[in-house]
Amino acid sequence: MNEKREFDLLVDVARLLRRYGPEAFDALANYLKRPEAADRIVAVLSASARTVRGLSLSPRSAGQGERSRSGVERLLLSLEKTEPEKAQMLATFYQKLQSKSILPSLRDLRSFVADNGLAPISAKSRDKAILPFIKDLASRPLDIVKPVVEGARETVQDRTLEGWAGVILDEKRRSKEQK
Amino acid sequence: MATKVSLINMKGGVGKSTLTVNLAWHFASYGDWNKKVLVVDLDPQFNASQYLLGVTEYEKILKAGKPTIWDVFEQGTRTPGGTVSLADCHAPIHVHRKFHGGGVIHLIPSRLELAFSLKNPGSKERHLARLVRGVEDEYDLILIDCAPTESILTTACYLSSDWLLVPVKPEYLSTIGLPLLVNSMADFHRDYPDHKLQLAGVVFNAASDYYPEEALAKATVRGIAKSNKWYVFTNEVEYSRSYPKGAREGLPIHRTSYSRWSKVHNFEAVAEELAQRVSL
Repeated sequence: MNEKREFDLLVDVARLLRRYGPEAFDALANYLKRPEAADRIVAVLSASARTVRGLSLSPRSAGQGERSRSGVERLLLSLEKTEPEKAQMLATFYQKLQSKSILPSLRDLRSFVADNGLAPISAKSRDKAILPFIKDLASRPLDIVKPVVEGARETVQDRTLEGWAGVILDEKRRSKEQK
Repeated sequence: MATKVSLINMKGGVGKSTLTVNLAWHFASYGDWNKKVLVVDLDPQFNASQYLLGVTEYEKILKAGKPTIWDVFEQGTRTPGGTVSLADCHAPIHVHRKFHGGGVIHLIPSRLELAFSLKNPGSKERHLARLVRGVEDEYDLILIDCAPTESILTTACYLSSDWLLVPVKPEYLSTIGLPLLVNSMADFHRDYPDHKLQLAGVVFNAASDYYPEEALAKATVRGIAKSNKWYVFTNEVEYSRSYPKGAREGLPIHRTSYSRWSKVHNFEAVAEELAQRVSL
């Protein structure tokens, strides 16, 4: 505890005192002086904490992407125990998927799956598609997964006019080659 | 043995490269085709290479000093740095895509410097045909995207092909390229009477049914085709904004974002008609 936090608590207590009135405050103070009150308070607060924790893990409050993320992480952790090389490869692949440096859209993901003969993706969003996609890869033998993963080219590719102008006007390269 | 089709028109801007790349994708990955396709970019403007590769991949090829179509034409040429040589006929072939069904798209990329080859034509026109003979058993289809001017590149493309596909944009200036092609083919048949080269047909590209200008251009083209006994495709490649968009995304129309299914099916019909014409 530091002085600032204690002062903030005092301000909050003063606000509550004004909100509930001095009578309710005195009654609570007398109740808390009784020995059995402490156990009762601990039980009530623990029950509240459990409820809050449960809510934060419920499907309604967790985003699809977040659930997919934790699902992939759990999957890769368990895969690491049996097939560490594949787990490592898929972890790197998954990081690239997360950063969208490969297969940045759901359409790219679907095309990639079709080109490589993997299980078709029925998910309606990229976030939702990643977990079944990684699960499918994890279920296949390493010698099949390896070329598939390596075949996913980095999609952050330059196709700009400026890029082409750079290639066409690259005097340095052209003069070197003409020699 | 591969079926070899050159896309040619003596007029530029009729959509040869776009059509070449879309046909390559179609036969390698669309439906049940799963064909092994080699694209030869024979145009110094290297649009087909740009479409397929993008800047990053194209630069990698140049920086690594990998051979391109330029090396094919310049092999045997003496330069101050030594004689240009090709290690083997596979050296300039770049593996672009592999598909699960067995289809592939490979590319012999082009480069601006190919234009220099035209300054010293020598007897280079047979070099490409020799390379194609060396690899044709490994492919089902070889598509050659030709340059829109009469040169040794045109002769090289004729010598390397079984079939010609002539895309024509149904507009006044584009139709003028057709009589030039008639002359070019007549010259070739005279100089190389033993080479069997057939015309798969004339296909209207970027047709939008704009009347009367387009109708007039189509009628002119049909007239020229009839007098030369050329086949005109019953299906036309309809105009779609998805084609230039696809070129920017490096994807064919069937994979371009938000392309309309009607346009995808329209292209499919054209590709299927070509397949029938060349017995693919």
